[in-house]
Amino acid sequence: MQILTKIKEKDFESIMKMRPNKIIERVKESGLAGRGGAGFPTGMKWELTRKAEGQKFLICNADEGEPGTFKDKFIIENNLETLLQGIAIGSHALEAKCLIYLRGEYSYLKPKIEKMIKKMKLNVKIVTGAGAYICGEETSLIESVEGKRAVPRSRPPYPTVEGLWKRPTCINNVETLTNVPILLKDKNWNNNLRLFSISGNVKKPGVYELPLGLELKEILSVSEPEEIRAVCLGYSGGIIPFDKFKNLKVDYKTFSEKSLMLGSCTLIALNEGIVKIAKNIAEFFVHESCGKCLPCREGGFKILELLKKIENGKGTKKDLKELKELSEYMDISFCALGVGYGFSMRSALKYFGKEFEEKCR
Amino acid sequence: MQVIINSKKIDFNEGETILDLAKRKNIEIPTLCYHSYFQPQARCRLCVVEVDGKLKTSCDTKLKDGMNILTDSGKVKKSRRITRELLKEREKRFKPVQDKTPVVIDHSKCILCGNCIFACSLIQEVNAIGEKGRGIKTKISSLYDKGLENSPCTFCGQCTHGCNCEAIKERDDTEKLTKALKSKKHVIVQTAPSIRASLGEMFEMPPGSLVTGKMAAALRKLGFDKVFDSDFGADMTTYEETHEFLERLEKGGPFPLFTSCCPAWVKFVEYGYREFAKNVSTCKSPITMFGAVAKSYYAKKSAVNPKNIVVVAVVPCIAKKFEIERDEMKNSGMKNVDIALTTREMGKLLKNKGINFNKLQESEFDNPLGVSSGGGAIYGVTGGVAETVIRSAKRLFGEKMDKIEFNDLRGFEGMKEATIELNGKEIKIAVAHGLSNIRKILEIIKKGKKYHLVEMMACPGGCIGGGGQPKSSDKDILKKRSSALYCQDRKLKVRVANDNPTLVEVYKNFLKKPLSKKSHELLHTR
Repeated sequence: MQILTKIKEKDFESIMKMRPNKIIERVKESGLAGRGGAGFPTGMKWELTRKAEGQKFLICNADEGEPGTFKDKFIIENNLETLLQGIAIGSHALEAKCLIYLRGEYSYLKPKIEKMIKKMKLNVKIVTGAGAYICGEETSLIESVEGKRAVPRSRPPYPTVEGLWKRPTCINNVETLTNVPILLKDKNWNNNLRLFSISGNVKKPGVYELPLGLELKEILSVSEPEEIRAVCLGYSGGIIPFDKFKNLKVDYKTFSEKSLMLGSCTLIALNEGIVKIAKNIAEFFVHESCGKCLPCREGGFKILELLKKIENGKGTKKDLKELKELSEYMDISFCALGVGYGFSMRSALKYFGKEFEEKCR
Repeated sequence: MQVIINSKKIDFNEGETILDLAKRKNIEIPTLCYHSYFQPQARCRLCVVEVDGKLKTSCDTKLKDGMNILTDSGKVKKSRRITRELLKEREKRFKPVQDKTPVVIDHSKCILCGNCIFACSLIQEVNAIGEKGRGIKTKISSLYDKGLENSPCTFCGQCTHGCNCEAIKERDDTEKLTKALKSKKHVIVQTAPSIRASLGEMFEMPPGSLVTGKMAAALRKLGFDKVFDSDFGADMTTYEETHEFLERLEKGGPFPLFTSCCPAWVKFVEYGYREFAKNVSTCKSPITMFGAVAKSYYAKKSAVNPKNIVVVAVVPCIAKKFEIERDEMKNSGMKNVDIALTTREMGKLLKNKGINFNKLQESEFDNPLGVSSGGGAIYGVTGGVAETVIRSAKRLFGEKMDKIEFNDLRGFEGMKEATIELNGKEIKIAVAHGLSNIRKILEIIKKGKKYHLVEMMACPGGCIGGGGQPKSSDKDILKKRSSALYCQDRKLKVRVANDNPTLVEVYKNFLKKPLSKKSHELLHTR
């Protein structure tokens, strides 16, 4: 796997001697984009942060909270050294203080990371979250690091201008940063490779490195799938029927054309009833909503109530109409959590509407 | 730079939000969580508008050249309808308020905008309230949800000014009053200095209207047996406090002497700055001094059993509801003041009783406890107590006052300082208003700065900005209310507490002299 490439120590040292601008230029040229889901060009993010005034911060976002996504854990477990090199290079390029925001559930990895930091003589702090999904959202993550309630901030100002302690802050995903040392040294570095987290009704769940552009069924086949009715693209990525989309080309362009979200390349193979799955997803979002904005807090709760009613066979046509309305309404939520929740519900209703209708009188 | 709102081209200024422009151009956009004091939070999402086909919150979306905005499209209406429906459902999930504290939280009305928290943490820097829980379980809560009475809350009530939804508010005591008025008891009312400059706002009068006469008439109409004035109580406080101050000057301390008429400040110092508790004046507040005298001197004079007297105070303050329950504010087992209603509560009650405030014929306070000096009037504004104590002290020394107004003590700077010559000695005075400024000045004093007299008022602007005052979005509200009080002071012939004829009489026939045994028993906390 390309992501497991380890670069030579002297190569790392030579990178650390490069001029910051040169590094940023190279990262920009490489076309590396954020692997956390949003896909923002990394070089540009670095440049924006570097140009802003004041003490800079680089945060490695290891708060991998999307259900079904476990690629960052894989990297920390299998190529921690390269990740830390990536952080060190970023910190050098941005002249930034750096820290790792580690997902609460990954706390057991903290001693391992600390040991490696010590061994590599780096100055990297680790902050552990307390298990809130919202902390994966950049501005909530910043609030959490500052010791506050994890709720999203208004943007603008963007973190690159005013982030941690109101200072310019660049937040990069684990996979993104791990790619940095590799792309700087390996001429054959392939920007098209992605880590897919595959789970669900498959014989061999796990992390697979595959190129973009394969068909959905080709990708899933590596994990030896069993019966599949639907594929969940992460809880905020929605659910799609497998039969209809099995020949779909899995890349960002195609997905966006079909109004789908590839995000962090998560695939959960499912064989259950969609109403139950939708309820499960709703339960997750209601539990994880921070409570800041009304649509996510109240609307999200209402959606769950309706889904419970429908699952129990007590739903009516009116409930279904309300559910549809609310799933659209969620789009005006404050942050991506509520928006993703609504998106997910809309996809379930769009592709599996019949299943809902059958359950409603 | 131009945008199109509802098909009309409109120029805008750099940095303006959609809501700013809409407000300026009188274009209706409904809001709930928006509050002019604070940064827009964009939490309730009611203010959505359609911007180039997409819904955006107008309170935090900055205008960009060429934006096409619809404030009333089908999409917008639908979104707002759902928001309102969800709020109604939220309301149903909560039980009615049960709190007995002076400040109560009605979670069913709360939309979680967080403005009360901002008022508490940003304006007052007290941090008594915050958010607890997450998602649907989120609620405004005291520290560790142990109740406001077990938190640093001073009951200043500034949080209520942040609230657009009547969710955090004063405990409603109007029922108690209505009951008392229906009973056979002798119910008397006193009006705090600042409320005559603000009560009119409850009846859509312009801010700064001085409504002393109408207020007296309205209260009489409501059914009080006597309508008196806390300004008289304020004169007594001035007189006692001045003597306490002079006594300390003689004895050489302890300095500084802190004023004691603001109950939120007193609670603040007791909670967080105990080392200063001995510096706080032992004088009761004007309303409790008034109550103590009403249930003794006045009771005897008018031959009413003090047990049958109900003393009601109309105050700008929520903390007074706490103060009147304190053990120090009781004599012979009776509370000095039985009921404290805020300006807002009184305004609402008068409206509910169908009293047409604006059309009332002005009337006067009753005698004897309705007579006051100009010094009493300015108690309601920051610096007023210090000013009136200085007037009183100068009078006691027989000093000539060419100028009775001390401008150094006036105005709305967070902290004011003045040096005044008294009996050949330089007296250093400081004045702070708003608990954040109070904290600052206490820290300065801790570091060794010396003052003789420090006036402290917990609310911004003093009582005119009290937690129980009518809510206002007028930026100059404090200025307007204070001018009304200074105007009242100027209109009065008697401007020094010592010269108040009723006060002279009460001392001559009853209390004998300031700081006497009787005074200490009735007018001091110890």
